[in-house]
Amino acid sequence: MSKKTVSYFYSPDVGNFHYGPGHPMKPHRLSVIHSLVMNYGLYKKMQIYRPYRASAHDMCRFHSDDYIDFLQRVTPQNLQTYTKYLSHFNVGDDCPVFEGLFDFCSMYTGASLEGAMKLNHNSCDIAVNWSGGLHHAKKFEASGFCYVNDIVIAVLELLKYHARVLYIDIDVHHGDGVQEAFYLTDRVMTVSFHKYGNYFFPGTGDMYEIGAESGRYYSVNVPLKEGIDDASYVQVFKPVIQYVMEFFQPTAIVLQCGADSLANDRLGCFSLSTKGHGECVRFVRDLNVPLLTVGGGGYTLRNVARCWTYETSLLIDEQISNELPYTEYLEYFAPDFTLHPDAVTRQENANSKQYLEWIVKHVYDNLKMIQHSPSVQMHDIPADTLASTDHDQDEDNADPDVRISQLDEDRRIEPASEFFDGDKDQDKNEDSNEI
Amino acid sequence: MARTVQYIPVPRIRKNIPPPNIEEEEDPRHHYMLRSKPGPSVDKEFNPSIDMMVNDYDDERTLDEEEALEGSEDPQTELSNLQKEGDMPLEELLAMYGYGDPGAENASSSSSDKPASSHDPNADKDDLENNMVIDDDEPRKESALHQLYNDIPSTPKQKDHSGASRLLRLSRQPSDEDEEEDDYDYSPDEEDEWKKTIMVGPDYQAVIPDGLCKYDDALPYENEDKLLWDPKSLEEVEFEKFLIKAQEPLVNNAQGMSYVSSSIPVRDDEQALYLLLQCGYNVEEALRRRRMNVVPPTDTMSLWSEEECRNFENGLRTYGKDFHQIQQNKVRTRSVGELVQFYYLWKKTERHDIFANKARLEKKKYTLHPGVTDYMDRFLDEQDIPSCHRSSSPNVNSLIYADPKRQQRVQESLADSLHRTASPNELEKQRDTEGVESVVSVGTSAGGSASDSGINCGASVSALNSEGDTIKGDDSSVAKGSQSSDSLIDVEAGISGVSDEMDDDVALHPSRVK
Repeated sequence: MSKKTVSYFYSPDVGNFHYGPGHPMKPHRLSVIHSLVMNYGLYKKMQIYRPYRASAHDMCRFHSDDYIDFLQRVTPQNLQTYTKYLSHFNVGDDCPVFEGLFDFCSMYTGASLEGAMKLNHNSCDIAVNWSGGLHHAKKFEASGFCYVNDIVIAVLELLKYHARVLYIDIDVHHGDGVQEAFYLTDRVMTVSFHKYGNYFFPGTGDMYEIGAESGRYYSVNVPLKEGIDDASYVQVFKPVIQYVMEFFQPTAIVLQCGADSLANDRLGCFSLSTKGHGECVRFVRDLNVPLLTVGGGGYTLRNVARCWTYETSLLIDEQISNELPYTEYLEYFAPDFTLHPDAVTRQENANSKQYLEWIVKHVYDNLKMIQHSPSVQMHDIPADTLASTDHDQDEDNADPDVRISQLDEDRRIEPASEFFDGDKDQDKNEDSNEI
Repeated sequence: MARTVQYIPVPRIRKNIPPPNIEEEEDPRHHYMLRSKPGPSVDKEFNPSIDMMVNDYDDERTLDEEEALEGSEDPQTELSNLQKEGDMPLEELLAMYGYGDPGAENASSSSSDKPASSHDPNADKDDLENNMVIDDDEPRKESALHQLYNDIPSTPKQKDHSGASRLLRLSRQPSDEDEEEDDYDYSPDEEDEWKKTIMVGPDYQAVIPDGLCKYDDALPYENEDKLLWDPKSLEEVEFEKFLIKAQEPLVNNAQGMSYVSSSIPVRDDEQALYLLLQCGYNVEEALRRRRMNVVPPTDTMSLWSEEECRNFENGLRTYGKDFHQIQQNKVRTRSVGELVQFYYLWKKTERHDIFANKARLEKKKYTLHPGVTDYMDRFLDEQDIPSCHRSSSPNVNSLIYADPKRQQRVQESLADSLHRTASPNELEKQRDTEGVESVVSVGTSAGGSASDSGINCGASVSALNSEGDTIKGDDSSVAKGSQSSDSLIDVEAGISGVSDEMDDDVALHPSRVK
């Protein structure tokens, strides 16, 4: 199969923000990743965009005007005048007001939004925005280091052209903001794999949260216990996604690659290696559905950088060496200076095989309840004008003697639900008729 | 035995039997909640039984903590009660918890579906059905449950009872009596924070656009992004050749901090590739323009002067990692963004090692003469500390709370504030007079301890070697040899300071110990 067109969205300034002393979220990890991507020579293999910055208007496609207005105005200097709003919008410890807050939001949100637009217009197969993925932000408030929910805004953009959008979340924390935003709709399925229970943030993500009203059965939650390793994770991830694809048949996917599910994360408690984490990304890439990949959590800087660099290489299908190239950040990767250090963890895997099988079965049973795909599916998908112009030209040039040209055949997209093997799969074989 | 006890989810027990010491049991939660502000949205319909479910995904660590805090709680009583229940026939258990009672209203209100949601009644029904499916097949259920917990060495009876409590969780049926007790013994507000719910309503969901757009809709932001590079229409080998050529003239120009290197020939160069794109992939033209117009590389920072570096370090010492303050008061020539970028590069240089060692020394000293600023402590505490207890964050409302570094810092700053007396001015004076001496003594002590312990700490050793160059600007042997009047203390402090750091490192990278 030919390589996919990958678009990479990066604002050179997005890494130069700081949440404040002692805060585990470090936007500078994005600069480190970008530096690795360049020094591995991956940069020249992708379309590179300096993304558009999202406006307040874009953000209000999901968020409330009041909240966005607040984010736009508040600064560390005028904080005192906004004290009564701080708790209202949940701004404080987790989500501090820092210098350049709104710029930061507008950069990462713009990049996700633009990734969605490029996918909508078929100018790429995969869009990558490691600065995005802030999945906890709610319509009216900040949460868990997230202010503006770029994922929701990107999904809303995808919904303009896509009947069904799948959201997959492999952050160690539950993707509550995205799930909540689409809790009642059958056009977005949210699937989250996360640590659940025992006060673990954010406290949602029970397996019985399955959506409501039209969205019933369109929220899928896979609660896991601490210490899950590569083998166990993949044992759950692959069948669940397989079933989801089978029953939901999305036309676009958003993958949140939170790297706090890696071993030894400062806030996480899973034991995944970069390879195990990457395996999930590779699996989703191979589903051959337009894909927006975003970042998310990840609080041990060196491991996040390794992980997302490796995943960039997976998305463009390039092998990269285990030895890290020289970068100005090389010292962060001491002592091994490798891409895949051995994941040393003292965390025991609390997920038994039986528990995982049980969860997978539970997910499967719920997915089976999706009798019919949503109504939008029945509508005609409007023609893509740009593509159809090309098509007309092709038709003019086509050999009139050939009924179905190779080009037409290639272009013909077969719904995954079709069961016949192709045009030749008929009860009466044409060849035999000729005799 | 201890492990088995851990695995009994304490709050679940609280629902099932009247525990003798419910207040002690609540203690840990009080601790957590006192330090947290209540969530902005409080779900009034919350039913306490939901915490049983949460607890099913409990892990052992917090239970360890709870156990430690429980103190006078007698686990034996609980165990024997639960074992009794575990041995009961299923029907009896169900009856005991009101499951069989058709009049029990709690059955539906405590459904696992979010109480706040305006869900249809089917939700409850389905859940009940799920439960019943598990219920009819008791032998299978038990074995499945055994396996769920099979990593715990326990006697068959204890397994049984964990099965029973699991079943109780599924049927979620606190009796009225328990309900009253619960209300009496702890405030519902606290329970509300146990588990969050997905909220439903116009204030929470996104508005989904109807139908699908046509592709001829105008692109709203078509020209606002900027394509910097597109790999199409040229062979990859060509790019590499181009990049090598493009970087040749720049190698001589390269300067800045000591990290600029020329070792990797095929490093991607954003500017060069952008130029090539602008020239329509005409390699010759792009190279010509590049030579004509040698721009300083912008991807590495423009060079910082010695004064800026010094001011930055002073700022860090005074304000901690509050880059806005540092910018306002110390390094006005740079933007906050540049400071942040500089900080991350500086952090892995020799200058940082010197800075940190010096800071450590001062910390040691000023615990004898208390009055050290918060910020310095903070800075040091944020040096990597091995983390623990990550699998549970004590406060479900706050993500940052789970940060082990933060927890440690809070404790230390509390302790610190108890014996802080001296004024900052005094501090500043002391630091000025002692600064030079302490650097010197770190030099001697760190070298010694590194070789003694046989641990590879190349970074700090090399920092010491170059220290003379970077800071004193001249004779490094003098620096190493000289001893100040209070050097004995310094040396001692220096050794312990450095070895502290090494301990941290070792804990983080076990492979470092050769």
